[in-house]
Amino acid sequence: MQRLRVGAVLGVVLLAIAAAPGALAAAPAPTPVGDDVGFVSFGALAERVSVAAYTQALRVRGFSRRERALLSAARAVKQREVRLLDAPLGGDAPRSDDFHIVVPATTKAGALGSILGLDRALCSVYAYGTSQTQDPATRLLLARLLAGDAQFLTQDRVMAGLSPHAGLPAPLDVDTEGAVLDPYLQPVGTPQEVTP
Amino acid sequence: MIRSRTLPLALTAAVALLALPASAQALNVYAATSLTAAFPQISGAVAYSFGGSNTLQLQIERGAPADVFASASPDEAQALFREGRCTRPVTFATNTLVLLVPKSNPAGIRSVYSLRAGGLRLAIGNAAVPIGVYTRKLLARLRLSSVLQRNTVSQESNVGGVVAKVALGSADAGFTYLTDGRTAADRTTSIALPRWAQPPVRYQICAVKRAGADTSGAQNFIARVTTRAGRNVLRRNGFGLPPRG
Repeated sequence: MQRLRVGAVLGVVLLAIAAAPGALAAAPAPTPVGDDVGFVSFGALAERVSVAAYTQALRVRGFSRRERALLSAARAVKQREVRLLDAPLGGDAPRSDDFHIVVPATTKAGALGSILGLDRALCSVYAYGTSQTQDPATRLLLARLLAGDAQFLTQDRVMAGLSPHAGLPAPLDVDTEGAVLDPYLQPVGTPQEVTP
Repeated sequence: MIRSRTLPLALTAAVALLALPASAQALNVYAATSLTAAFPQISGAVAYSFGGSNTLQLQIERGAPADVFASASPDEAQALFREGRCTRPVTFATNTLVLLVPKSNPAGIRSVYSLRAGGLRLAIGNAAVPIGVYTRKLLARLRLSSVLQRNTVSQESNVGGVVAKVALGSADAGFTYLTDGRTAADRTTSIALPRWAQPPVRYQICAVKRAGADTSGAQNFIARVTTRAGRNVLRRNGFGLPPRG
């Protein structure tokens, strides 16, 4: 019975993942106003880290074939999300040589922990962003990304053996959720760090 | 009689010396203020002009006798390259931003989010100089642009001005490069900024193209900066280094 329930949830998520890119692509072009850019910049970088976390998850042992298919599909959607977030940032979009992204997970539990943490942070920031952005098209982009990443969060929870019915995480600003990203980022050619 | 013959000779020699082409004089390196401590350690036999990268770019465009240009962001060097005024710029160093506070920290600033409280004296680079551009990008990413309205802000023409304001206690805090915080470490404390919001800070260097420029001297200097010895000096001074390309 439990297996059937999990299977049904995963099936719904997979269908939603398949439908997500088309919906996102049809959105009007966002033009962030003022500090709207903070949400988009956070998303562009966090989705990159998320892609790296999904990639790392696909490298570790312990995921079933079905779970690997879901991880792979989610990663493909997130790669598209990166491009959607990069577009309004233009020349200020993150570049591959801005940071080394390091996801040190070597076990299924570790990989799921990273993925869960990142997807939760993304949902929190997108949820906050939808109520704070000035530009309607940016707000719509964040809302659609929230819908997609909320599904991934449900998928993560199911794979981690948690209840899929936890609901959306609390909306939080980038100052709180930025702390989730920093451990994964190693700036290229970093000068000696100072004590926070 | 001998004296009367010697004077014209001496004058002629002096005039001849003055008339020597620029290449026979010391190499002129125009560099971003944040390189003030590091570059003389790479080569002492050079005439340096340090300043805001945008100001130096303007001076070169107006014919200043620069042989080498090193800017704190790619924008200025790339602009000169596009105008045909310098060789293709190469990235030779990176840096990160910090929030600098006086050693005594009278305002009790603990993080960049302390600036939200308002009523502080803040020093930043103006909107044209790289440190000012980077600062504004960082604040927008952190959704903290409003701190520029909530606090009394002085806008400096180069990062040296920001450091001076903080070190002298004329400002409660200022945004500078990590390397500047190190040079003023006896009078200031550097507070780290969120890594995810850091704009990439890349320094670029190029040889200036102009009549009379010391091209070979410029290339030699650039080689010194980008080879092992130069990179070691930059690293010692706190700069990051791009992968060798």
